Amino acid sequence: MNDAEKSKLEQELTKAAPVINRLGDGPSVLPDHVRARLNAALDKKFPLAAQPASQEPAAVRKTTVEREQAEPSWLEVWRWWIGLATATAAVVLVLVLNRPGPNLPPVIQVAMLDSVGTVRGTGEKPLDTLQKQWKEVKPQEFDDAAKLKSWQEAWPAGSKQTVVKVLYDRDASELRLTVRVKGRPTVEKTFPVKQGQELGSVLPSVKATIEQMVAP
Amino acid sequence: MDIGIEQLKAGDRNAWNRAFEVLYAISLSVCCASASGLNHQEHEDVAMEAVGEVVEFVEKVDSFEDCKKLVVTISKNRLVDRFRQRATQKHGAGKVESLEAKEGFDAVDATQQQPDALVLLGENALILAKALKQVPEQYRKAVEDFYLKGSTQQEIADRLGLKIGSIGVYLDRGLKALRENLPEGWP
Repeated sequence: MNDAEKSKLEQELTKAAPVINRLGDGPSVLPDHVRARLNAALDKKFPLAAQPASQEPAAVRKTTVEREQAEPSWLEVWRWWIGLATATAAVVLVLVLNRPGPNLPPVIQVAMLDSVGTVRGTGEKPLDTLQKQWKEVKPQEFDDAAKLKSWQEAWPAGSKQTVVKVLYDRDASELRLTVRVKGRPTVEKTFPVKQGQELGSVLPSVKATIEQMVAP
Repeated sequence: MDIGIEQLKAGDRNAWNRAFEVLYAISLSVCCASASGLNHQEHEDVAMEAVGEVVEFVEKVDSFEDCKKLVVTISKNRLVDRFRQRATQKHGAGKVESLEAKEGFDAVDATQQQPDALVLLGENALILAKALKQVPEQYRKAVEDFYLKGSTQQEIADRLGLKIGSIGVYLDRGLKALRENLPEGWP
């Protein structure tokens, strides 16, 4: 390279310096975000000629003017769809979690209030009678109305199943039934146990009532 | 570098990738020649907008040469838009000013710079930038710092930890390597 060529080259370099300084420093003369943005414009203009998404850079930087104008781009449209899908999924999840349990057996709790205590005799104990009727449940015995109240007010948290509380109030000579079905108001029913009447003779009608009440 | 307008109109990716480089460099040359008061970011924004608009209107031009002229025109228009917007924000709406009065707009240069000269400047810059990337790194750094960034030989020597005499040698070798990577007969 002679002096004239060198001088010419220096002159051209100096003249082009501002433009070269604004071109990309990397392997390409176009910065990545510029190329991505121009490719996005190309995709918009020629959607059928677009390359597969995996070959395109992820980030597309917008110009200041476009940001101000907030023109929706494909990226924003996708964001909108993703947002809608998330909201739909959340609604479905809430509905699924809150729907009543399908055909789940009811939870039955049995208790007896007897403040007097067991009287000696040959007859069957009421607690055993209750146990015979609901073999899978262990009846609880209370001798204090305050303790019984807390049992009556305690409902399994978050349960989707129907809950049935059967209370034999020996003091009042009655059997009280409380049924709570999710999504329906709580129902109470009282079955008197008359003087001289066996508890066991009342229980079949109690059981029938329970089956009727928990039926879907 | 032959880029067919039919390829561009058909949305050919390879053709557009080559066209983007040329058009972007030309748009930057318009920005640098006409609006030295704007910063690098604003030049980039204008160039992206201008090239994007060429994509939008490509079916209305007859050749790639027309695309180059179109990007010059659009770039100038976008620059004027920006100065008008800036003036409105600064002085309030409704006040009309000449372009010469607008801060940062090199109106004299803009009128003197013909589209062809701006196209040539952009194309030359692109060719030089591509050729520079082929120059060995130690020489390229010296050339970039001296000719593009305006550093003195002493500053470059201090930065690279070399004697000032070595920088002269680096520049000579860098220019020689650059010349070898330029197309035959350039400019």
